[in-house]
Amino acid sequence: MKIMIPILALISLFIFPWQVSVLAIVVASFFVPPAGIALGLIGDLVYYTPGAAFAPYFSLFGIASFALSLLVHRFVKTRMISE
Amino acid sequence: MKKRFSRRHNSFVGAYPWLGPTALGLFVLVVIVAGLRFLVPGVLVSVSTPLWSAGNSLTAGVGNVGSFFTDKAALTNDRDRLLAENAALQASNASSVARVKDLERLLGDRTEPVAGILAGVLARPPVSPYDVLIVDAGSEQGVAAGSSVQGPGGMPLGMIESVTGNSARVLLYSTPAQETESWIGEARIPVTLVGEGSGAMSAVVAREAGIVVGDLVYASGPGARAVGSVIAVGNDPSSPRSRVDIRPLQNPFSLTWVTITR
Repeated sequence: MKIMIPILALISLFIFPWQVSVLAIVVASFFVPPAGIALGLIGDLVYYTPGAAFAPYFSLFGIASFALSLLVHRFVKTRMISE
Repeated sequence: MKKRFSRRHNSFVGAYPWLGPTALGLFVLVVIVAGLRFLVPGVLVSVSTPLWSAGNSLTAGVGNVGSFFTDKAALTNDRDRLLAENAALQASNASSVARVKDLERLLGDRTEPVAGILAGVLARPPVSPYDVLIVDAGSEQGVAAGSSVQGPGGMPLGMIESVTGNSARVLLYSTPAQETESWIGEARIPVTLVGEGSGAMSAVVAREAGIVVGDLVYASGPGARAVGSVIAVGNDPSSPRSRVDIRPLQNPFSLTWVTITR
């Protein structure tokens, strides 16, 4: 069931406004952390155009959400162990 | 006393045993998709096209589903359609008026229409995050990088950035930080348009230029074709220059067809 969330986020890249896609990537990376990077890369490979932006923001955001989700997972595990 | 400790619990990698295979998987994914984008870029667009088409149909369906239940929504749809049509006609009319004025000054100028390539828009803002359009005509249809792209009424929208066999990417004039030479106002004062994203543009002009809200902005080149209108003029008395905010005559969020000319 967890795998459906990244798949829905992938579909949202082609259907919904990019703001919704960004939110979907964040949600997907919390369930499956590497999905953040993968979806960010796919978003930029489809849409990034040299000259249109200073950097591939989707990829950078995917990496950031991946790192954030790892931290959150670690924090949640620590809390669960200490309790 | 012998103290037991597990190195595994203190290790970042040990805590995430899936990290190695995942990193390898991601690397393979990047190589595959990057290969698709840079070696056979048309394949990526071909794979994406059904999803974009489904998204466009879904958007249209969501827009129309309410009109089944209420007349008010139907009227709103009609109003939106007429507003879009009106914007296209305004753009066409403004371009025609400017062209007539130019021709009156330059008797004997050429007037034959320029042939163009009609292309459907596959992806547009806000689905496309970088203010680019992806259209369904490419090198096989005669599109080349650097070609000019026009919307309804012949209104210039941007330039072709890259082309594949059956698709092309269009950099809009409103792409953030994109600079385009143009003219502003009835006096056709040369300015540099700067893209602000989401269809908006700006420019900096001398305060004495007399630019007012409602003045048209024209793409420089053969004939003066309107691309937008002034919606705000900065009024800082301490500065000799004014920032001018410009709204496009055609909303890029609702583009469905464009014409491409070399």
